[in-house]
Amino acid sequence: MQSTAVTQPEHIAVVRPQRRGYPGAASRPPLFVLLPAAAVAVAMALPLLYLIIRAVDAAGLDLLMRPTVVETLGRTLLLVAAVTAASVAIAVPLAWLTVRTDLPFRRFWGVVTVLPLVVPTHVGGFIVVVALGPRGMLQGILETLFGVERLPEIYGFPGAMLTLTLLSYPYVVFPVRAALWRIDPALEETSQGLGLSARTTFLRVTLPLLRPAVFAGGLLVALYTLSDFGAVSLLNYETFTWSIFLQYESALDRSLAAFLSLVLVVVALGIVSLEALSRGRSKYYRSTGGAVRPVLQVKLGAWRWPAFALCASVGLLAIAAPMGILGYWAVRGVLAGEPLLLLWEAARNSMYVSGLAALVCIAAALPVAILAARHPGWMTSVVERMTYIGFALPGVVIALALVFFGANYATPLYQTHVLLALAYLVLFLPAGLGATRASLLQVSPAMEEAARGLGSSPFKVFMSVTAPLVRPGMLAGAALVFLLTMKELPATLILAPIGFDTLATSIWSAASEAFFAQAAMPALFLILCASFPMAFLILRGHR
Amino acid sequence: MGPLAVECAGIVKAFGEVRAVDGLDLRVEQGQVLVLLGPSGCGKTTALRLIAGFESPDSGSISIGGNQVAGADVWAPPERRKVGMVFQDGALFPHLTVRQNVAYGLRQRDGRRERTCGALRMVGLDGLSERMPHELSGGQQQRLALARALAPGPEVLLLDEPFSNLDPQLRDQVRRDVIDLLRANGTTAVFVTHDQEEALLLGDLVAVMHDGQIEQLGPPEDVFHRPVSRFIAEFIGMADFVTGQMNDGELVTEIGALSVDARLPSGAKAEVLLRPSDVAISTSDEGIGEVVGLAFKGTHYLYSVVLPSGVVLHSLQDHSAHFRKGERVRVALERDRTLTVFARNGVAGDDRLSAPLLAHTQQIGSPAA
Repeated sequence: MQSTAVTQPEHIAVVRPQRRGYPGAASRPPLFVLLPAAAVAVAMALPLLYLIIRAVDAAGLDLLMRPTVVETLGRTLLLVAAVTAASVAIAVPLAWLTVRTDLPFRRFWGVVTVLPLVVPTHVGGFIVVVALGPRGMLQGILETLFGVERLPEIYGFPGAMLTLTLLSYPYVVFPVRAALWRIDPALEETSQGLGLSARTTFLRVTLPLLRPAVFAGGLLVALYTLSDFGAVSLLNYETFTWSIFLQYESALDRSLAAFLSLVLVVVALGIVSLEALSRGRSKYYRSTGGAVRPVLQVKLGAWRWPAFALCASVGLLAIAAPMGILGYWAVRGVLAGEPLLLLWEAARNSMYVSGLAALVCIAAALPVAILAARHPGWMTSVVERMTYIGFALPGVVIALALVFFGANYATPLYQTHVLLALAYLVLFLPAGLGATRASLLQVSPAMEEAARGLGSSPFKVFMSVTAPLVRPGMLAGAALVFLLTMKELPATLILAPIGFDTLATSIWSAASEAFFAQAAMPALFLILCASFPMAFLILRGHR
Repeated sequence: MGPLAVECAGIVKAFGEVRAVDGLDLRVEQGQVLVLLGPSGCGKTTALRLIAGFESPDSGSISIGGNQVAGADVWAPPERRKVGMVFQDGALFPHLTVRQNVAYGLRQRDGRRERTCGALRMVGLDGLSERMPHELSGGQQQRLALARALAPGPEVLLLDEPFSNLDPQLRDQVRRDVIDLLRANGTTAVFVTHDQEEALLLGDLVAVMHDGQIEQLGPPEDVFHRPVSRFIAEFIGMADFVTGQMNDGELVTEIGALSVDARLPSGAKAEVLLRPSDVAISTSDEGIGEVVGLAFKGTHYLYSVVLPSGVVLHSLQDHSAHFRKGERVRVALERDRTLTVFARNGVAGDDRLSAPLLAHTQQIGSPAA
C-alpha cells in the first residue's frame, strides 16, 4: 500500500506571461510541431508560386488560343475521360467479385487484380510497343500463322488508353473494395426484407452506397492519367505532359513550357473540384460505423466460371503477359551480351532516391499530421491545403518549376539531390500523409492527456506514446512513397544530376531509342524492387 | 475545514460564443470525494479539463494543493500540476504492458519498481503485470487506469465518466471497488458524471452543474431532499409537481392541505415537489385520481395517476396492493414527510417561479377526497 495523500509540495506553478482569454493556450500546437509544418507548407507552395510568376511573364490570351494548345487540351481530356471510364468499368465488377461472391480462388484474385500498381507506365508503354507495335511480337506470331502483315495502329490514343487503363484501374479497385467491406449488411437485408430482389437491391442500395468510393478512385485515375508522362511519351500521344517536356527539351523559351504547365494545373484543379462536388453530397450515402457482421456473400451459381474467366483475362493482360514479354526480352538481352554492371548501379540509385523520398516525406508528414489531427484551426487548414498541392501537380510540372527555380535562385542546389528530394516531397507527401494521419486519428487524445497528467512534457509524450502508436501507419506511408518514387519518371529524368541514372530513367532512355533488349532487364528489376513495398502494403491490408 | 486540495475561483471558459464554464467556484478539501453532476453540455467535463490543465481559463484562478496553477499571468502545464486523470475509455497505452503503464508516470529515483508493484497490488492486478492492456477485462482495464493515475501520488484524482463504458452488472462492482480504494487511501477525487444515481452513491459532496455554473453543492442527501431549484429536483430523481394556494399558513392543493413553515402570504401560489415514494394511492370509487399507466419495476410497481387538473403524479407501491389501469383511486400524501415547496412570484398574472425559495411542509390531517 502506498501513501497517496502526502507528497512534498514542490513549487509547481510556473509564472509565464500569458495573453488573457487566448482560446486554448493548452491546446496550442507546440513549436516542435508548428515550425516544421510551416516549413513543409512553404516548400509545397514553392513550385506553384514560381510557376505562376514565370507563366505571368509569358502569359497572353493569344498563347492560350494557339491551335496547338487547344488541340493538346482536347487530346488530354479525351484520354483522361476514356481511361477513367474504362478503369471504373473494369474495377467495379472486379471489386465486387473479389469481395462479395463465391468466386473460385477469391483471395488470390483479390491480390492479382491490384498487382498492376507495381508496373510503371513507361514500362507498360514499352511492353505495348514491343508486343502490339508494327513488327511487334503479336504481328510476328500472326504473320507466321496467318500471314498478317499489318496490325491496327497502336501508337497514339489506342496504345496510351490501353496501357494507362490496365495500369491504373487498381486505383478504383482499392476504395471500392474497402467500401464493399464497410457497407452494413443490414441495409441490404432491409431492402430485401422490403421485398426487393437481389438484383434491384444491388442497383438501388449497393451501387449508390459505392458512389463516393467510385468517385474517389476515379479521381485518382484521372489525375494519374493527366500527369502521366511515361506511357504517352513512349506511345507518342501528345498530351500536356509530353508537350511540355518537348518544349523544355527543344525550345529556348521556357516560359511557354511554364505557361502550358499552368494550364495543366488548372485542368487538374478542375478535376479535383469535380470530385469534391460529388463528395459534398456523398456524406448522405455513407453508412455509419463499420459492419460488425461479415458481408453477405452472393452465390454466383452458373456464373462462377464466366466470372473466373473475367478475372483471369484481366490478370493475364495486366500482369502475366507483360511479365512474360519482359522475361523474353531480358533473356534475349542477356544472350546478346547486355552489360549487367550498369543495371546494378541504376538499381542502387533507384533504391537510394526511393529511400530518401520515403524518409523526407514521412519526416514532413508527421508534423502536418499532428497539426491536422490534434490542433484544428485556420493555421492548420492553410498548412493542410498546401500539402495537397502535390496531389494536383504533375511530376513534369513540379520538375520544371524546380529547374527554373534552381537555375535562377538556388544555383548551389541545381543538379543536386536536394532539388530531387524536394520534388519527391511535393509529389508524394499527400500519399505519405494519408496513412500517417489515419493512424494518428486512431490514437485517442485522451491517451496523450493521460500521459501529460502523469508528468510528461508534450515532447516526451510524443516520443513515448504518440510515435510508437503511429509507427505502423508511418511505415505504410513510407512503403507507399517508396513504391511511387521507384516508379516515378519525369521528375527524376529532369532533375537528377547529369550521369545519375535510376532504373526508371535507364528504361525510358533505352525504350525511347527502341533498344528493347536493353530496357527489359532493368524493367524486370524495377518491378521486383517495387513488389516488396507492395507486398508489405497488401499484407497489412489483409490484417 | 481541512486544507484545500483544489480551489477554483470565478473560472470562465468560452468556446467561441458558448460559455461552457461561466463563473465556477469550487473548493475540495483534502480526502474529499466530489462529484460534478449535470446533463450533457452543462460544462462539467470542461471544468474537469480546466483543473487538469488541458484547457486554460479565460479568467478566474485555479489552485491545486495550495499552489496556483492557473490565473492572471500564471500557467502551469498539466504535467506540472500533480493531478491524476482517469478517462472514460481508460486511455491505457496499448503498446505498453500493464506494469509499464503504471510505471510510466514514475521516475527511477522515486522508487519506480516498488511503487509500481504497490499500485498494482492495491488494485489487485499484481498477477497480470506482464499482460497487454487489451488482454484485460473491462473492469480490470479501469482498475489499471486507476492504478496508473494513483501511482505518482497526485494531489487530486480527476475521473471523467470512468464507469460509463462498462456493462451494468460490472459497473456496480467496479464502482464499489473504486470508491472503497479511494476512501482507504484518503485520496482526494473529483468525478464527473451525468448519472445521478452514481453521483449520490459516490460523492461526499455533489455539485450539480447547470449552464456552466454550480447550481447546488452539498451532501447527496441534501441535494436529493432539499433541491434549491426545479431544475435540480427534476434532474435528480423522478419529480412531479402539484400547484397550491396559500390559505392561512396552509398550502391547499387538489390532493390535500399542507402546513408550510415559511411565511408565505395568503393567496400566494406555490408548487410542491413530490417524489413517487411520497404519493399514496388507495382504491376508492370517489377518488379524484385515475390510474393511467403502470410499470413493473421488479420489487415495485410505478403507477401513473392523472388528477382532475390534468397533472400526472407517479406513485411507487409494493406488491401488497395492485391497481388496474383505468381504476379510480384516492390520492394522498404519505404521512410525516418533509416536502419542498417552490413559491411563485406574487405579482398577479406572473406565473414564473421566484428565485428558489425553500420551505418545508408537514402534512396535517388527511387530505380532502
